[in-house]
Amino acid sequence: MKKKFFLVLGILGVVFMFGLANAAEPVKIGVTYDQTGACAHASIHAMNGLLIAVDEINAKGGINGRKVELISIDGQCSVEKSLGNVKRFIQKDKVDTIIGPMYTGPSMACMPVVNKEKILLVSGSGGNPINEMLIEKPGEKQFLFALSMGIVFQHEYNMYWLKKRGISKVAMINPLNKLGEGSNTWYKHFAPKFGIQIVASENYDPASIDLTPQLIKLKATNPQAIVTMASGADGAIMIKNFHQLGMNIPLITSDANVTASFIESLEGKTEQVYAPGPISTAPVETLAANDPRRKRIEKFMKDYEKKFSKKSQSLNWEGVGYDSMMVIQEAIKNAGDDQTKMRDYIENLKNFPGINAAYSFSATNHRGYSVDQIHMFKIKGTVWHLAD
Amino acid sequence: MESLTYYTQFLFSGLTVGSIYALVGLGFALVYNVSKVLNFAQGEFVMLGAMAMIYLVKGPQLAIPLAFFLSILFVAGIGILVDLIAIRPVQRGSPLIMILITIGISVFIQGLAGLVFGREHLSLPPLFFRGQVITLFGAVFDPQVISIIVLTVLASISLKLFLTQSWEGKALRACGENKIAAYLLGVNVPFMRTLSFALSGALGALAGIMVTPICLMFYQGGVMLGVKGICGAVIGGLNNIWGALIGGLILGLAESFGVGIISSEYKDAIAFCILLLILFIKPQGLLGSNK
Repeated sequence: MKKKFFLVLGILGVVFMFGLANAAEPVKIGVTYDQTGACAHASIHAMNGLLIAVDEINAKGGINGRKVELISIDGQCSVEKSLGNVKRFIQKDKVDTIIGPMYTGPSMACMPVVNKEKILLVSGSGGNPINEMLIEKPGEKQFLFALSMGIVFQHEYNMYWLKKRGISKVAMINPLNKLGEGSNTWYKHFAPKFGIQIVASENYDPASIDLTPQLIKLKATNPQAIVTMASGADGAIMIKNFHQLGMNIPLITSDANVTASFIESLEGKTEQVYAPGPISTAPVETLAANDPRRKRIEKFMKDYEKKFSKKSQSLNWEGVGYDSMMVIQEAIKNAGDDQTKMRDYIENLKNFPGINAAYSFSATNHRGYSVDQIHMFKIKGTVWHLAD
Repeated sequence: MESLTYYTQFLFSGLTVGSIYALVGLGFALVYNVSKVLNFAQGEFVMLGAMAMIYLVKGPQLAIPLAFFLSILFVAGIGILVDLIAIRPVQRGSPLIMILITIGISVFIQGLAGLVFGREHLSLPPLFFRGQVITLFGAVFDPQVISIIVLTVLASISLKLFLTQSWEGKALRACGENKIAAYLLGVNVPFMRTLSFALSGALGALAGIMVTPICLMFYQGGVMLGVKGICGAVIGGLNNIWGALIGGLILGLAESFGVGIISSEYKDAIAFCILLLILFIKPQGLLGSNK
């Protein structure tokens, strides 16, 4: 009796192992997005976008017949935790590719690890100086991609847009932190390229309650526009003080402000407020009916409503998650799952259509963005609309 | 003319910021006078008052006066809970232990508020003078500041009257002077401390509701206001009710002129230099008595 039992067990085991060997192995993707912590807002939306992309791919039979399997661990907005997740994905889970942190600190901490292990990591960080590193040290092959417009393209675009509007005298005001310092540097870098003169520059403590002293000094220099990386509360305070001082010139703020909650925090004081953003920021009905981007975005929004039984809420962040997965799919489909070949393939990918942009990568551009993929937005009513 | 505009604007900006510090500092002074405890959760009372008001006005859309009183009652209730749950069990402990407990409470309330109210910055329309500004020599002034200063003065006067004229007020002060003596004379010491926490909760909520139209609020927004409020109260003198008002305004003006004339980078350095200077020359604060 006992012998028979072991025989059956053995046969079952052999059959099971054959079964495993025959089914194509899934594409394993480690995801370290932040589901909790102070910065979780963007990642939670990106995760939803990512889940829609995976459903879409698996419904069509996977990538080259292989289903996509996500292993997702919360990065908790922490550098240590995100780095730990990436190491775990590589050593324990033996994932194929990693979709990584949305924030600058954690994404920069993961770079040396993925470069050493030669594992592709697609992040959404805007502050990571990935492109500047590629330009500075072209020999060092980077395995990190960051699908967001980032600081540098944003500054170049803002100057380009001001020039297009015939503006030549600009004042800048930035927070006293790393972001503000970077912004000052990049505006000074791009201004001469577009024939723009920076007539005044002020800084402020991001915890300030009142910014009228700085703004009145800018006002005295008669600028034609003001540029700033102010976002969130200091952005809202600056805009309120700006209107109180009766200033009536374009105020170009950070891309981080293209959200509905930012508009709400302005209490109706929305005139002359601008911010750059990806095309998905625009209300989809304002895009031309024959615009291929409109069809893509509408399909995404329909899938989103079907899966989560609520309307898509923050399309630009959801788009980062969705686009990250789609870029990885495209690379595996055409280059196999060898990570170095995938990286080389993505570096040669041009005009790849996503929710946020048509990505064109190169050996010195791991963001896929360019100035013509960025648009200027202004507030009409309670919604960000494309500015002319 | 231009420099006159500058200085007027620095003055207005200083008054704006100073009035906020003053109103926040008042709550610290109250609890300190009664229990000799610096309540580091005072900033969280400010934040909770603002958040409750924002929720009531934007969620169930209550009438502003009703939402105003409900928010103040709510935070006064939180003050009572804080005392009953966290302070009363260790009431025989030293003031140092109590201060550490209030820091713990502060972190706890922040975490909870982040979950309940979200992590976004929220704003509130002003109670009076909506959408108007006062202009003088090209410099501008938010009329909300006048309501804040008037309210701070009114709150200070009523507190002063309450503490010196009513039996409960005198009992409160007695607890601050000498707990055991007060107890022997029939004062219910634990009840008085609960009362002081309820009052400081109410004051904090009032501050939160008044400052949010100027500086917005989020779940960690009470921390910075709390620190500046303490500084203001210490500059003015913690054991004088008017100290918080004077100290807050001095701090606000110092920051504003520091930013305007010297540089934004030295804003906090200037403010804290003034704090240190006053502590060296007059450790009990500008208006503090020597006792």
